Amino acid sequence: MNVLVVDDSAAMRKIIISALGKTELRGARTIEATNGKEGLDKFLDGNFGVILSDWNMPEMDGIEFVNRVRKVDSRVKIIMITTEGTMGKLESALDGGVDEYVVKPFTPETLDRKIKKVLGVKS
Amino acid sequence: MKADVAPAQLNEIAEKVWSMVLGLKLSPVACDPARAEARDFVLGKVTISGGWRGSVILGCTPSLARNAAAAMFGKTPAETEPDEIKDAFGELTNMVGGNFKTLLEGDCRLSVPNVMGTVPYGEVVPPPIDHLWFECAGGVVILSVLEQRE
Repeated sequence: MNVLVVDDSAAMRKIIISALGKTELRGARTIEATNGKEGLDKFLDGNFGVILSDWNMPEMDGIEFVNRVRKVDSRVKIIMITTEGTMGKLESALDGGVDEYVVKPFTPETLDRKIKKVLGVKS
Repeated sequence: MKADVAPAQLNEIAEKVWSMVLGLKLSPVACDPARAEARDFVLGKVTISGGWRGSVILGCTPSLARNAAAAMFGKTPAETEPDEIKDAFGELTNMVGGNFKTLLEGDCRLSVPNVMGTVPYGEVVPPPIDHLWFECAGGVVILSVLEQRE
């Protein structure tokens, strides 16, 4: 499975990809993008099963990115990885097409739990 | 609207971020400008707008910022580039600021982080004496919340 990791911080992408190695998605091919605009371009060029996206990014933020992805693909699983822990905002993200969210900072175990949930894998 | 956030809550946020991301323990300490390693700080800032307006400023002594970036990039401190330190410290600032924002009432928006590089002690705004101070792995971390008033 291909996984698209969208975050403007190279350090955060590194941490996310490292954490993925301890989850259900270990061994998956990861492609990185530095903002929603680049993420959308890479998404349209590839075949992704899961997207892990930041919310707060320059150029195109995570919510607009998800909205645009959902216009062309309703099946890809999208997990928002964000500092945005306000329930109202997280609920609006879920309404906008995000399948799950992980609040930063996070542990690999939390990420794994969310990945298993969106993939329908029993723990 | 005033941000009714106790220093203990800020301590908790900073300690959580540094522990979970870097595996380092932050220990609150009294402000101590005489500390030799506290002559300069790498500073990061996020701005919050909306129902509450202000900024969250995170600072760190340069060697500790380098060590933090090295941990986040999986490199040795000597291998870590200035851009990587800026990126990593920006993300730490983003996490602290974002977690602070969740304590605020009303609809607020968080800016992308701005890392100002290394700033001499006397040019830090607000002054370091008005920050919370932490000791960590031989370095110093400072944190403050600055409410923007009309």
